Amino acid sequence: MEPRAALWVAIAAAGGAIVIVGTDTVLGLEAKLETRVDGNWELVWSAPESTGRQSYAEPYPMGYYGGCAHPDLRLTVQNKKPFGETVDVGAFAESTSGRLWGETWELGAYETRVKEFTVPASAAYPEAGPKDPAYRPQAQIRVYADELVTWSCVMFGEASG
Amino acid sequence: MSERNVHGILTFSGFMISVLTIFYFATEYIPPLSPWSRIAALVLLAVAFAAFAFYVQSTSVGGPFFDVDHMRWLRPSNMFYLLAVVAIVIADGLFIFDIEDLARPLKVLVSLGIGVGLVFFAARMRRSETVAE
Repeated sequence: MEPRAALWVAIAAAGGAIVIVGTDTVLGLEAKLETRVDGNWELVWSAPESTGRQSYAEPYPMGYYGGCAHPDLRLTVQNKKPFGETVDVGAFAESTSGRLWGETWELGAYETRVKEFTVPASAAYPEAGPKDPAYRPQAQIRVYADELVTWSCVMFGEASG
Repeated sequence: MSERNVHGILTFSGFMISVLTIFYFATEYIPPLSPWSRIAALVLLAVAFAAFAFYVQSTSVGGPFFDVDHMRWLRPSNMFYLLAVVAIVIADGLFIFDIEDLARPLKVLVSLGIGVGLVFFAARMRRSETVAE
């Protein structure tokens, strides 16, 4: 083999490795969170792209839902790993007053898991301590696959003042 | 210190920094990947290291880092070949211990086949080079 041909082989192989690592890292899981408004589901955020109504914090997507004191939420997680492998996923929702639910799923290739739940009114405020007039109740939804993949903080209800 | 050693130290430092970066890449980005992606990435990296070694041998940076008798083996091409060996051994370890989709006898057969195949391939290469000389 000519040395110059070897150089091209090396560049192509290194590029291939970077493409594999990049696609597997970026195109891992897709998650979206919806909330029910007037009987219809509306998208609050989706990952890896954030399409939430408002983004408050980078790099994490944060949705805002202001019409209901205890909204219905629906989390959808799909395994879109490019090489069709199974992924262990953990999904958790927490409110100010504690954990609402938490589950772990083994998602096969292109498998989708949907979780619907309601944030109870009791989850809106901390149980103890004075109520901050500027405080907005919120629920945090986190999705893990070994490491934190994405999370969203959904604010709802009116300010308690 | 001879000029040759100054060049060698600079080249050696460059290689060490590159190797450190590759280890950072491997520890930060490789672990969250699935086993098949890890194996594919490592095999491609091994091919890249071996091909770079072959290329560097023919260039002006391919000489020994240091002008000292017992350190003449320490040269860029050998370092790249060593990195290729490390990458392929780790890839084989992942294939044997991390892949759960395949039956164990099949993994043993494939791994042995690749290992023995590499030995025979190297022997054939050496024989053809000897004949050419």
